[in-house]
Amino acid sequence: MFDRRLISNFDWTLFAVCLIVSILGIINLLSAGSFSLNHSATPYYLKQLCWLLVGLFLFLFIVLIDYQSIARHAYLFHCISLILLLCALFWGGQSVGANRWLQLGGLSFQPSELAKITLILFLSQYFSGLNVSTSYRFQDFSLPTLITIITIILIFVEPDLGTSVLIVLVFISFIFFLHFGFRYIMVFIVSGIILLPSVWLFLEDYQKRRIFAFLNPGKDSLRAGYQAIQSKIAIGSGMLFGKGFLSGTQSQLRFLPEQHTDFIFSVLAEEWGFVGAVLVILFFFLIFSKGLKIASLSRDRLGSFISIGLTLIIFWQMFINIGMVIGILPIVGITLPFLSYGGSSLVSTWVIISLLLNIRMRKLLF
Amino acid sequence: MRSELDSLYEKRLQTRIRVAYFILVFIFCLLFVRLWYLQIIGGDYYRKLSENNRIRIQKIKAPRGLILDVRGQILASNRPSFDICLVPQDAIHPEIVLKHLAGLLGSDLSRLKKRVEMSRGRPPFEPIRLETDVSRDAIALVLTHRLDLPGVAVVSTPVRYYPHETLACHLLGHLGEISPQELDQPEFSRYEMGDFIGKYGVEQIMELQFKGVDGGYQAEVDATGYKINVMGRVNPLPSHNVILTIIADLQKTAEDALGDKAGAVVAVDPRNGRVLAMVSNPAFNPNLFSRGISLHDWDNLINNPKHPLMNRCIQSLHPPGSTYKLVTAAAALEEGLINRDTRFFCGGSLRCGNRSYRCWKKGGHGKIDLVGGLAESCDVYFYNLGSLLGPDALAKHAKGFGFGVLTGISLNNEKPGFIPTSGWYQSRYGIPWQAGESLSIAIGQGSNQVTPLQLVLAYASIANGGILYKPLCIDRIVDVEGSVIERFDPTIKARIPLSQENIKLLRDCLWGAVNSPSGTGWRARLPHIDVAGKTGTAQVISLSKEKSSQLGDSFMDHAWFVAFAPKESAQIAVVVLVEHGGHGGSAAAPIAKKIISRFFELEESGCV
Repeated sequence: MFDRRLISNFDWTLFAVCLIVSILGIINLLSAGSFSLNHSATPYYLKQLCWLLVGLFLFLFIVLIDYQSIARHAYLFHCISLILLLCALFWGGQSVGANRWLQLGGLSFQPSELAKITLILFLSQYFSGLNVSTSYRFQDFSLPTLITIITIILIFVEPDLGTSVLIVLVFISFIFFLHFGFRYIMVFIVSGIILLPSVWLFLEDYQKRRIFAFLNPGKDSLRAGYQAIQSKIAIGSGMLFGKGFLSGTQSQLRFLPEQHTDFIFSVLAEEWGFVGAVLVILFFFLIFSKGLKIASLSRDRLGSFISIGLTLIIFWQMFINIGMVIGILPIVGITLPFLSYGGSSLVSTWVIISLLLNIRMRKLLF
Repeated sequence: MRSELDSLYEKRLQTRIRVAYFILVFIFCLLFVRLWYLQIIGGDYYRKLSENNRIRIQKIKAPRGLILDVRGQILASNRPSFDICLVPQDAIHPEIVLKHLAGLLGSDLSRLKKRVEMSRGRPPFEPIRLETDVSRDAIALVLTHRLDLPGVAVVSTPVRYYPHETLACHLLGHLGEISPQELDQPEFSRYEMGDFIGKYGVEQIMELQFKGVDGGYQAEVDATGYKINVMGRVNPLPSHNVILTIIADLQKTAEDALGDKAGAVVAVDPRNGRVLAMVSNPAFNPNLFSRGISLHDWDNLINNPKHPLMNRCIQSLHPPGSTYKLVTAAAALEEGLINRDTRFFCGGSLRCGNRSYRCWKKGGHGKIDLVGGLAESCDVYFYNLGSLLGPDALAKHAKGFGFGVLTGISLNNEKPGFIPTSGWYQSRYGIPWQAGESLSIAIGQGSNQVTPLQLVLAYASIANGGILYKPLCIDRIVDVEGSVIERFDPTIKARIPLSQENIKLLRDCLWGAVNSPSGTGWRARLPHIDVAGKTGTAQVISLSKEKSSQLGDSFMDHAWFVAFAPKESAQIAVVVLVEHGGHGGSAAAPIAKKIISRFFELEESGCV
């Protein structure tokens, strides 16, 4: 029953890199959370350690089930995700004006983290199941596009701008990997350009401010621009080797907002310097290239699609997060995989990694 | 087995994955270059910013909107308060700095330490207020020693200021620090801990109009915490100003006329229900609240037996006394029980059941008609009307005049008052209505309870031909440039159930009460203006006159006077209540006279 090739095909490097980055993240949280006002509460790094163990447990579980069996239920999974998103919208716990959280007996979790994974499973299952002649036809895209738009809207109204932007980017780039004609890409780009301004109408005031702040940071230096300026100072002041562990003045003195979640990379870059920051980015790119490798090695289209989609999720999340922290992208709330504090974020990242390794293990099984 | 199609697809997928690798490398280079630029090229600059010169955000509070009277006189504004603050992050040795500062200012060191202790846990760049409202000398002292006081800063904040102190304090209201419960409410989402909001009067009801948008700036500061470069600045957006309907000058006259006596004065314009003056005595100084009232001051206000925080114009409930005879007369006329010429005999008292009900005039008024009865305030005349009417017909008309219900003025905590009915009596005492009660309520004693505002509006409706207006104390809300945001127009609440003919008759009666030789309100007479009005005396307890004067002030009757002028097309209606003042004619009417004559002086000089 259990094939020994599963073990021999296991990608230990990918697993090790992910584990190292996770542990780096916990060490980094020791620094970012040290100011915590509430001394009686469990510190962030300890909580994160627990979540890592939860993630590793799920990892063991997922790796053992063939991804094909998982993908067979992709439609059901995504339905559940959408229902959970709806639940969060109506009964979600309020956290700074957003209904992103769903309370499950003392634990809160973010259904949008689940939805992004099930969406990829759904899209992969759908496209790999189509009987294509030479390339996908236009009508083949109607159902997946509709489902994706519904998912994005549900996440957007929570409101969670970060994740909805992430899914838009993942979807567009995912389609790029599919096999279809050039003119469809053109249609897509043109309709995107037409639709983009209408999105503006739905943005909350603070979100518009952030975009303005990105375009002109001096102008709104109090609210949105403040984060950007403080983050740049934190990163820049790290210089080549950083200020040293627990010695970042920007983070320790709490100049840096949301330093344990969205701005965790600034803490890292301040304390570990250019060397630390580039090292972490290199680890990320190692993970991406492993992800693409798995896609090209996969035994079937389903596996390729899943691994491409999941790699894209981590890639865009990293790029948007680090991009905003270093001031090349506007500030949208999005976590940095492995490093940001948050149970939903860490666990979902590990689910993604376990699915990738799952596909890698079964590359030669027919 | 892979189909041919699959392998064709495979080939294309591999191509795209190869493209993706290139994009990845490109993006890696992008991030690398950006980090290089920030950390290696800009490293020195940012290191300096993060170490010595820190970036501060300093809030600029938007000043609270002004309150003006109808002629543009400022009733509530803002003044700067200079506070000495400590920025913990800049104070290298806070202990030494505090000690030094306490020595300089002569303040209590342990108190300063306590202030710092209380702010523990806040970001270290947020200033902690040590001393508020310091003098110019103290500021100069701190600034000259600034090199010895690293981390000490002088911060100016706008503070609510009422230049006329107690003037119209009950109408203006006062501020208070926002409570955690209030902070949770959605309408206060723009507020934060430590903000001051209106807790009373116009300050309270117009709170959201007064709130501007706070601004601020981000500044680079040097090692001792002094600004060296402002990096970005957002100016605060000022809020709206509120213009009241009152005339400050008339308000002042009314307050002076009432003097130190406990009581209330309300003047309204009968043509539209606009409040021209609103006085409640004793008053409080709203400036005491602007920075949080001290415990000592608060205790003084709360424990004062005369309740200075109560707005007597809308909250005090007293029997209306003889001023209520207007309502009794109107009810009897309208019910067709009497007409202009109906006469009753007053022999100094009227027997009802086994009790004798006295007229205030021992000898009696003899045979007297309605005009005389009202002018001379003959109690026996109205005892007769009371027993003819019964409680429920009278209550119906009283409601028609607006008694027993809220006037609807846009101030909080208004009281509706009370008008008794036979049903209420039955359920309250368990016995049917007593005939004698009809006599008491007909002259405004017994269980009747009215507010001064209700009374003046009822009289205003006689003056204006029968319209009961909703009283207005706010004229309009304007923005900083003066353009109108919202204007409050007069609203007709109801028409009193009275024919024009009867209204005219009652107006004549009230004119007689002031101007006829034997009228009880003669002290309100003015040479060139036809004043019409009615005196009233509300019994505190029923005692003979001799006894009550022996018992002292707190058992003396309340004095009422309500008037409007001129008799035809009146421009002002006034009510005066003097608590424990004795007789309406002697205690209240002269005050009303002063207010009315001042009003016409102002009018003549074109100020109104």
